[in-house]
Amino acid sequence: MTILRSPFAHAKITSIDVDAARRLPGVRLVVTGKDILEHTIPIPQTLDPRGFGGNGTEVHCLAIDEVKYVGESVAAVVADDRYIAAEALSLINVAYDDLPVVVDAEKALEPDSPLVYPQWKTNQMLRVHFQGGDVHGAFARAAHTLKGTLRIHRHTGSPMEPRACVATQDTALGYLTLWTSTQTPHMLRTVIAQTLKMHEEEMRVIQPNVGGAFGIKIATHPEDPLVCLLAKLTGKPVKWIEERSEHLQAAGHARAQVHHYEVAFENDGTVVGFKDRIIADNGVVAAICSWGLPFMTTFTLPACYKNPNCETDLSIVATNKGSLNAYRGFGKECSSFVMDRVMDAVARRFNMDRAEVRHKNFISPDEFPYEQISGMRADSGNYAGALNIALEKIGYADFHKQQQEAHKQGRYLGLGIGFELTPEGGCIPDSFITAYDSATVRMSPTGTVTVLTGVTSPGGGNETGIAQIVADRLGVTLESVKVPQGDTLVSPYGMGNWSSRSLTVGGSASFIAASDVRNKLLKVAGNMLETSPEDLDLADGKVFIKQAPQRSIAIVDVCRVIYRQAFTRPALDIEPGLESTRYYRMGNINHIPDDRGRINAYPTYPYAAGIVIVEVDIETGMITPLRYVLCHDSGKIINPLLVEGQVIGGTVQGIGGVMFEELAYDENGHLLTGTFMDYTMPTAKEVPPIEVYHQETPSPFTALGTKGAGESAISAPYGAFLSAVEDALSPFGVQIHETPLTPNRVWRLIQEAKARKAV
Amino acid sequence: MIRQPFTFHTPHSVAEVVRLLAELGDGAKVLAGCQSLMPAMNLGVVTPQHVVSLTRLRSTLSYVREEGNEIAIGALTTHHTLAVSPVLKHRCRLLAEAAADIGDVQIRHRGTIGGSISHFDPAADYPPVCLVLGAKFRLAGPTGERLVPAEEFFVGYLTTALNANEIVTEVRVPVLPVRTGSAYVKHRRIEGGFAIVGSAAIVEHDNNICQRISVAVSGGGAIPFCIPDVEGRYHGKRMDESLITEIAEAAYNAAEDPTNELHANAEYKREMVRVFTKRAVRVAVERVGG
Amino acid sequence: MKFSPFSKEGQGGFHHSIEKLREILRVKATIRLTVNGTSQQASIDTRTLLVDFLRDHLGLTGTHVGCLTGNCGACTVLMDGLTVKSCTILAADTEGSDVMTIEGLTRSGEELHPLQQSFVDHHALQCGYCTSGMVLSAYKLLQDYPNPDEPMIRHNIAGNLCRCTGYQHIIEAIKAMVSK
Repeated sequence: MTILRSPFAHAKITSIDVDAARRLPGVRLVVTGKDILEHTIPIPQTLDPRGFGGNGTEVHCLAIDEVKYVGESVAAVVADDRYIAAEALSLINVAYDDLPVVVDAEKALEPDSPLVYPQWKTNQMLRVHFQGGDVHGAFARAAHTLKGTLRIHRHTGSPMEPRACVATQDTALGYLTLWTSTQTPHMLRTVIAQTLKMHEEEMRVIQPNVGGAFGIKIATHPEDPLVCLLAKLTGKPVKWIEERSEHLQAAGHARAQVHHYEVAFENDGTVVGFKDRIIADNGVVAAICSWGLPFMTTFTLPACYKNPNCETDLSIVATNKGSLNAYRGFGKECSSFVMDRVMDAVARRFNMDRAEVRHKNFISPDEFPYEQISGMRADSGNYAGALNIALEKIGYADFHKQQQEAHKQGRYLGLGIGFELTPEGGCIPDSFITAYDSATVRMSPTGTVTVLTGVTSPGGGNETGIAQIVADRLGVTLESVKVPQGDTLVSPYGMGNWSSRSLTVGGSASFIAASDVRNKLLKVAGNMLETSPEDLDLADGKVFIKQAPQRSIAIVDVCRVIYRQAFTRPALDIEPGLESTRYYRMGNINHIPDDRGRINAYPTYPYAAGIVIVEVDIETGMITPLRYVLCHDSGKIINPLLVEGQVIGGTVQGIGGVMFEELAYDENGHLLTGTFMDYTMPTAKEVPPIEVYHQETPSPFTALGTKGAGESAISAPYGAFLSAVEDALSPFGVQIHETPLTPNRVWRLIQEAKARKAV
Repeated sequence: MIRQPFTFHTPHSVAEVVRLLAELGDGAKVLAGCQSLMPAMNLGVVTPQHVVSLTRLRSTLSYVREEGNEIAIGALTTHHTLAVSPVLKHRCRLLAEAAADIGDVQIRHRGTIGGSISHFDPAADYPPVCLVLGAKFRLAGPTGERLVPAEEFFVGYLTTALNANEIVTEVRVPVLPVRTGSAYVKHRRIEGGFAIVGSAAIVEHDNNICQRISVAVSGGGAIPFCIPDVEGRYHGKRMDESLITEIAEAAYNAAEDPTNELHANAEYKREMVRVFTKRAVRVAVERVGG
Repeated sequence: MKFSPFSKEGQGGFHHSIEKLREILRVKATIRLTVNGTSQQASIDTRTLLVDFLRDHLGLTGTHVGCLTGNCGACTVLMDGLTVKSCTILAADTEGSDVMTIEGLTRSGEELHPLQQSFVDHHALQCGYCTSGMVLSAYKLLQDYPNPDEPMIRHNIAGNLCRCTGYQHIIEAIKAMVSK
């Protein structure tokens, strides 16, 4: 399958002529939006804004009457090979009538702005307002107030593997099978089946090895049901391999917010009031996670700081660009980023230490669980502890001297602090973004173990972690536990991998299911050893009496009895079989709205302090990161090496986001950075060594005390780098309100600061 | 994905290449190291109906030879070969320095000097270096060979003096005298990315008295250029920091019309021309005699 | 290069009448090259990239496509002993070449190459998509410079992008080979 995509950001499709394309030898099928209407219903959306009191619209696999962004799918071709398919694309004639284009989210809210969806009579998709305490009073009474703006640019996850899938209608097995690079096979199956008016049981989704995802590959992209439909209609296996330029236009974007904040604070740096007006540039309506990201930004404010007097006012705005989509951080990076700016601004006002201001305002360990104005309820934490470890490891106490020595040599060094709160296990009411999941643990007659999970893995290694948990619970070696994932026919229904849930939810479900199997083993072994199950333990492939370990039997012998001697005395106490399917629901979630209509959407709250030392070349604005120290806390750690892999990877993506990556549009809605030549991500040379330290403050709400580590560490670099550059350039009084930190921008800020000082 | 079907030609000699290009006309593109042309073809931005590969000429057109007071470089010599060439290291280090930092390891293994200059992206590294060296390019065409100096070769954005049926077969650069120092420095946002600004300087001084100086920059205008009259103005002057500043100022003045880019606007680029010229000249001065 | 592939001009970059298209023969070229020590001969569409030839014609799917613009390095293979980005090379242009893909690092059925084992031991891969290119770049580096320091390692893998690992464990995996 190849897709004809719109070259216009906003236009009416006046005609589509596919005759010539259809007649090309080797072309099996050419479809437009109108052609497939009879076969489909609008794609069920992961988060339909209309279900939350906002404006929305239907989402189809192909544009019908209008296109709303450059890259929107307009027609699809299935042909015998990719070259014929491409030739056919060039034979499709589409006539467009230009419509006015909306690219700036703030301007889009002005009364005379052109409209992306005229039927809304506005460009506002959704407005979210949270308020708590006495904001007005706090601002009136406070000793000081300040205002600030933060513009966070549009960028995205861009995994190394773009999207790819193969759909085949298998007449022998009777399923429509979709192999796809996805994070959510079950969710995808449910949505695609609905879209194509099929039973879910007629579909099978298989997630093979995925070449990175970061949220981008959570259901549902319009190409997913489309390729399945085309496989059905042609009766042939159909493959779609996305090219990078399609991916950057159409696979979904992130961040893209403007914050106008106000802070009320006292002489000692205590923040007593906080207001934030947020405008989020959502792009178009889509079936992917979309506006959930800015929602989570506002939901998680004011992050890890105590502040009962808060008001946040978020407008989620439609523009003529590709939609927002989940990307590591899921909006939480923006809330931590804004709070980092707030803390730095308060510190600057008094020339106060930036760490001290944070310490003053952190939620302290004995105040948990702590509820923010949105209903967010943080489980546990020792924010001060993590910050102090990072400060100590970077040599904070000595840095000022180091900075001054360098300054004497004409060098500008700066240190910046970023502190992130990255809640995990996202759980939104009435959606598949939910905080429970499943596992089946099955021990075979030969004592080996299969774990089937509803969670999946993009390569983060949760299957190793899960295998460890189960091996431990069942007293077998790691090698004898296999964790095949990602096949809807085989795995119990689950939500896949995102929001760092896999090890926490999947691991917990596996733990409980493994415990069921363990209990059966102990019960039968107890009968075989003529003792009570409470006296027994499992390890090294044996069941043994704790007080007399020499009295033991091999686990495989117990399996034999359970499987082959089900009618004999030792096995009669249990239901036959050595398998259990269980579900684990995270604690600390509340979807029953309180009297203010609030819910809590996150169960666990990892956090991290990221401190960077940079050197700024004031002649060019180039920033060189010299050292980065991270102290993170994601609760109990099952596998330190895997966690380290996650947080280093996250840090580098954060560095890429704050410094190098940008999805830039011109005034006609064309993406200027549409290939890797212009969308530049860090190489090994841009990145300093990341020094990782851990703190473990378990969550009281998860079975294992884990909190999830997959999204951690991506947020701290934003605040840390801006803080560090401002610190390096403090002789000039530079303040930064916008990202990315390109050399041009930094240089410009220096010139403006110099000019202000000269006046 | 490449959509336009094309015929692939693999000539064995320069004469055959020239003949082919004359025959095939406008719809033909020449493929050398592929690092510039292939991305454009993959994106469908360039859609030739004929591709003429120079791969079979690599053995004859890949060389670095000292010929008297010049160095002859085959057009199909790769950036990597130039970067590690002992001849260049000792005789024209500037070119090796530029080649060593083009793209990344894989690109340097494959990309060629002839291919790069024929493509002529104005942000590329060879053009300012070739300009400052006063390099000459041997072009082969149906009417025979001609030797074109660099400043006549680089005409406009992605446009060179090459006629449709000509190819570059050789690059000739001077052997830099022993008392010369040279440097190429470039400003780029990210490793492997194109230069925002590049500055190449060659300096010869005798006891700190300037004997010779030339500077060429990229990023200061639509295409790279030599800073005019630098040699005339500064010959005989003391090569101190204030002279270096003056030269950088001259570069700034000459950079009247840099092109705006997404992450580097014209004002910034102009200032960077000044900054990087200063740096290039400074390093070149330090390197004299050593 | 400052092209926008999705400008009005770029979209569907060529237009032919249906009749003319029927006339255009699928243009092929015959190639002979060695891949992982085995001679290969094939007749392929001239538009076939080397990476496509390796993956689609030879079934060597260890080499990956990430960008098609020669930036990401996921398509890195060794060609005549040098690491190159196979998405920037036409298969038709490989006559007589000696290509090694990641599959050629060890003979089938053997244990992992020590460099690959080092990657596993140091958790230097997560999703694995960049890994084959990364391993081959590291392999080439260690061939040329058996004792690289960290800046040199970073410099020599700068043509391979990774989104998952942040490079650190990769560098440690390569460093571990140096001390061996």
